[in-house]
Amino acid sequence: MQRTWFPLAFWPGALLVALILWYVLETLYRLPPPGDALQIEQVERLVGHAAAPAGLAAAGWQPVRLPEDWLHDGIDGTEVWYRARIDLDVPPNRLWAILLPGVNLAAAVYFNGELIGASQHLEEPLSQDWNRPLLFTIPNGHLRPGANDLHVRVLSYPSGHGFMAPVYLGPEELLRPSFQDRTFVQIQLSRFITMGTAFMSVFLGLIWWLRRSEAVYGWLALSTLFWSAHSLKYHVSSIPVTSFEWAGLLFLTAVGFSTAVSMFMIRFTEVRRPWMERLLLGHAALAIVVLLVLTLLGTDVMYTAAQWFVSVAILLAGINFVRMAARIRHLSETDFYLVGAAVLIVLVVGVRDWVLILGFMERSRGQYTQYAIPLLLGVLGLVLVNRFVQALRANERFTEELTATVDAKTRELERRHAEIRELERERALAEERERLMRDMHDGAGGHLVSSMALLRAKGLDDPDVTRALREALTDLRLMIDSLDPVDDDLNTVLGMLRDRMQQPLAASGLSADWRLEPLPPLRELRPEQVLQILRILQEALTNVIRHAGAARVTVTAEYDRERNLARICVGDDGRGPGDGSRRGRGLTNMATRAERLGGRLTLEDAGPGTRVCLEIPYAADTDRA
Amino acid sequence: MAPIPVLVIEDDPMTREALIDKIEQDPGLRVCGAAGDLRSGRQLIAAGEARVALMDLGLPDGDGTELILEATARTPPMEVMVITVFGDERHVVRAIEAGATGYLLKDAEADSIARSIHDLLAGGSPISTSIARYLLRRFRREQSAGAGEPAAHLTPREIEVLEVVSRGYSNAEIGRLLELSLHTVNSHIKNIYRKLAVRSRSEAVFEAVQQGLIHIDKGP
Repeated sequence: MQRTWFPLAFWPGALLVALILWYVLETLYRLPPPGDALQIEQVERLVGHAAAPAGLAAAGWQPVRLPEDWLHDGIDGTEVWYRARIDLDVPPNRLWAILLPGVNLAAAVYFNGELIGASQHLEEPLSQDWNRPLLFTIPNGHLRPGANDLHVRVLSYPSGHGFMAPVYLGPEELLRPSFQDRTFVQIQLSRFITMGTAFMSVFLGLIWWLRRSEAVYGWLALSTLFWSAHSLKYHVSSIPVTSFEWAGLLFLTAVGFSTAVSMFMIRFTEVRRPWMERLLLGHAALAIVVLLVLTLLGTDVMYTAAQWFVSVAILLAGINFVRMAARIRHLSETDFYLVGAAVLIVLVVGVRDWVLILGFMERSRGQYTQYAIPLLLGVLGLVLVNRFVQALRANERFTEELTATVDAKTRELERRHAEIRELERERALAEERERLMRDMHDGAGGHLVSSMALLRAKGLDDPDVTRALREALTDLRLMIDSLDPVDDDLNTVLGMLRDRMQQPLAASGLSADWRLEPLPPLRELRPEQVLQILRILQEALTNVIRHAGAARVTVTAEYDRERNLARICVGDDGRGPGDGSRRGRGLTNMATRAERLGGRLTLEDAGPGTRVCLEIPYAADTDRA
Repeated sequence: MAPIPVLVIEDDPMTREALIDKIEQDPGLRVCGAAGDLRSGRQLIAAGEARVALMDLGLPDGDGTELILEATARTPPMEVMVITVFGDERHVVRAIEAGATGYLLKDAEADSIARSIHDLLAGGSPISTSIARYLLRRFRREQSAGAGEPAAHLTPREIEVLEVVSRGYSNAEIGRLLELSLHTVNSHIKNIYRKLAVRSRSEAVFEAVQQGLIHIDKGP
């Protein structure tokens, strides 16, 4: 998947999404107060300190229009008082309240000289209420018909540059829903985001801890951790350090977050850029040292320095994002667009917020980055987890394939072993056979031949003795033949029989007719079985030669498909079986041998002649080819 | 036509005598010499009178295959038939590899012996199911082992003949089955035998050269 850049159509789409988000947030932030409520914009302002309105100087009040940003009006103090005179025709008959949608940092509200509500901490460390709407109910009796004096005391830290948005006065039941909505969006949602990113940070951190080689998880964990810390600024009101120190720490987390995100983006492309990494880490280290020192020194320069550091960090993040988008090769189409869109949204919103923070926009309008960042972190987490899961799956598949391969190899090996065992068995059999043959050749066999020659030489050529000797020799030959590996082939066995019987048949003057149909292989055809088959058929043929008084013998072999058996028959045209009393013992022997084979011997009157058949059944699962 | 001179080398005197007797029964054959051991057999072969030699392999003073080599190396070569009790393939094939082109069972009847000798001289060689199967098995083993030389260069037809023989058909039936004359079937078998002998001989020479027993003169 080679991708050089986003397709053109992506840009307007992603930009549109970013603008829609912007608009939605803008609308949420500008929840219009109920029509009946009084919007107070025209006020007078005094820069100066007093514990209560009573202590304020009478002179020096200047008329201003809310919202007011101290940055723009060159107010470099830490305390500003606003006042307004509200004329009421009729005193309210319901509970009234005052809503302060945007105050930086802490505020206290007075009506007719009396405090009716305030931020929790009006001394350092100040309450961090810049993102928190404040709603104070006005006890009955405080508002009078005619003129009422409203005083709002706003506190900030040096160079913190407070601001003050228009305030709303009206029945509590009208203002409270608006207040709750803004609280939900600005405080509760933000708290939830902090917790979510913190949890995600732990999760990614654990993955990284278990797989140190995958630095992307570590950098994303660090990014989420920094953001989790940074996002505290949106909803934490009571802080453990001074406002100035708190601001310093927040700038540090902002630099840390930007740097970690940049590192993640570099590592995510799987193409390292050492000099960029050194630049990023060097910049971050410098920012930490400088900001910590300036914060501890308590000098306002910290604020300016922080702005520079954060600006550089954001710029570097932008560069690395562009590079990532151009280089990335291992993301699926969907993941790629998701990440791209999320980053674009963050960039748009981030730039908007940064412009706002720098004071080029009305600061009381709130910051949106907090809603966009979790979106990005969530998408990145999703992509990483997805990649992790994919890797796991690939691993599982690989393991499965490996297991299958090993299994196949094992089976192959077993098969080979079986083959080798079989070969060894055959070899042992062949060796044994050879030894037996050598012995018989030089021993019994030679003696038998020699004996026949001796009888003949001495003129004692008694046919019965010679025949007996010859039969002994034939039987020896059958035994030797039976040791020949026949590969389960009955046809071979019949071929052997034929080789052996040709001479005696020819000598007896019988004409022999061999009608051998090919027979299917008989499994597990062992030497002892071969010998039994050879002996039975040899005996049947010998019987024909000796006793049948026949002129012709027919040997048939056929496969009975229906009964799944091989049938080998020896038929003659001599005397029928009825007369064959002398065959008795021989036949019994043959029948016993056939049974030992698992087969059956049948004898039938072929009129004229006799037919002896040997039936050898095949195992049920034998291939009936 | 003068009777064909036949040499009999067999160590058992009774068997030898019986063989001589049976051979002499055929008017076309004449026993020109008989020996019971390797030494006297060698002298008879050297005399060169016989056209056919019937030989037992197990002689008291040595292995008969040596004599087969000597007999077939002569010009014109003697036809050699190995005489065996069982006609088992190992015995026969060993003799064939030495150069024999036929085999006889020691207790064969007179007419069978005479017919075999005449067949042999007419160009036909006997073969049995066991021998054919043995040769095929060896051929296939060598082929699957990929040992370079596929079993003495047997032609597809020769392999076909071996296959049919191994299934138990007689030569006449093989002729019908493969549409060959009986003579052609027989000469196929004789060719197979000769190829085996040639191969085993070249292997022997190779072996001898390897072992330094023979020095090949490269010539000028």
